[in-house]
Amino acid sequence: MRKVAVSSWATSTFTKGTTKSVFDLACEASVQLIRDNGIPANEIDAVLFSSCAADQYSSAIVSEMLGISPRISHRIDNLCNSGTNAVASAFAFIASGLCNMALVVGTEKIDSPGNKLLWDVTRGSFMFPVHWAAIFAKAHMKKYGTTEEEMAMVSVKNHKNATKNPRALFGKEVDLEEVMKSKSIASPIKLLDCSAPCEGASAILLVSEEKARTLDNPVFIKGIGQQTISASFAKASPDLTTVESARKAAQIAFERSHTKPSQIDIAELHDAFTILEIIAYEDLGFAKRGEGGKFVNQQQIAINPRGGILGCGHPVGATGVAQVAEIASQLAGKAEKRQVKNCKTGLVHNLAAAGSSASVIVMGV
Amino acid sequence: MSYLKGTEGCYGLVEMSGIKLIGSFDTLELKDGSKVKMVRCGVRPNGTPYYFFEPVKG
Repeated sequence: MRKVAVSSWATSTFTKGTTKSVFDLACEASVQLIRDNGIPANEIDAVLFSSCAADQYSSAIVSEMLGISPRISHRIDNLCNSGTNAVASAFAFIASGLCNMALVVGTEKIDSPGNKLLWDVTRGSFMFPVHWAAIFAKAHMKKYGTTEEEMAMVSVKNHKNATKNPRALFGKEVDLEEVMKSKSIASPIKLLDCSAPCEGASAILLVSEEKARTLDNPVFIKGIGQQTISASFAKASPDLTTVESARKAAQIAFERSHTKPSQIDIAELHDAFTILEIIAYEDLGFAKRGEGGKFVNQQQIAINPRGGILGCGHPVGATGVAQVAEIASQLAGKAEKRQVKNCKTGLVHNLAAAGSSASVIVMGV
Repeated sequence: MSYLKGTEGCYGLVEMSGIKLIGSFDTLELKDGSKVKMVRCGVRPNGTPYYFFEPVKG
């Protein structure tokens, strides 16, 4: 199997209320990536489009708009996990020799059907993601004594990180009191425990090892783990204090990359709700089971340096791609104001639909 | 408790013979492991299902 590197990336400013289409957004990020890095577009032989938008045949449309005629072109739609799944597919295509240079572009509009889970009848009337997040939070609080303040600190941290990211939806810090006093949405989840759906795009270019050798600071994908448990919330996790799909995906990713959790310097974790970042600490082996709440203030691993989903906003199909772009830029030493010093090994963790599926990607220089 | 418009009220996870559902309750006096029975269910005009439960006394 060939090695695969992330060679370049571009992420648009995440926003709300744009009149641009998903195709306009996708092309903006892609064109920026191609122009800023002098990429010969005719060498791109795969285009993978990540989005939950209703538009059909979107990968071919984006390819044509970009003037690319790739050998491989298709769309990947897997709710919040779409972008990371698209990266995994591009990795596999290159590793197997099916292509040499794959453009992965993720984008979303705020009215995406991916924001409401109407198909899952086990959720009854409670089809918004916040309802299952509240059930996870209650379970973690009851079993381990995790507090609402510990969850709120995740929001405080990630909003603070987002102030260093000019492309984040939120550019303002929030303090503990603001989070705690924000409107209750589904107890114990409050407004500032929740991410906001928004619009934006992110594009990355994956290349074969041969092409990566010509780069100054290649960032390699060292291992990927993916796991789908179910589609419905009801079957996703027998124990509601853990996300089973993420635990399994992490185990696979660590095995394939020959990496241990203690070797991770920097991570992008799925924090659509604050409780999910706390559970992720435990599922990834950063913290012992039940100690995620107390791990929030640790300094050993830089967690969500771009601001996470809480600080950046959540354009569903773009999120996973933007997470990989962030870790690549950090490991390449090109993360501008938010650069974390001396990071060599990074991790991306992403989930969909109550953690019914997950992806974990380990990257390194 | 959910405070979202259209889904206000008490809700929770119910297990029925191995099938898990998120249902609505008219009471806040439920604890983990409480026995409940389904009192009504159906599909709203907008296509979303609903399941209502109440505690089993005794």
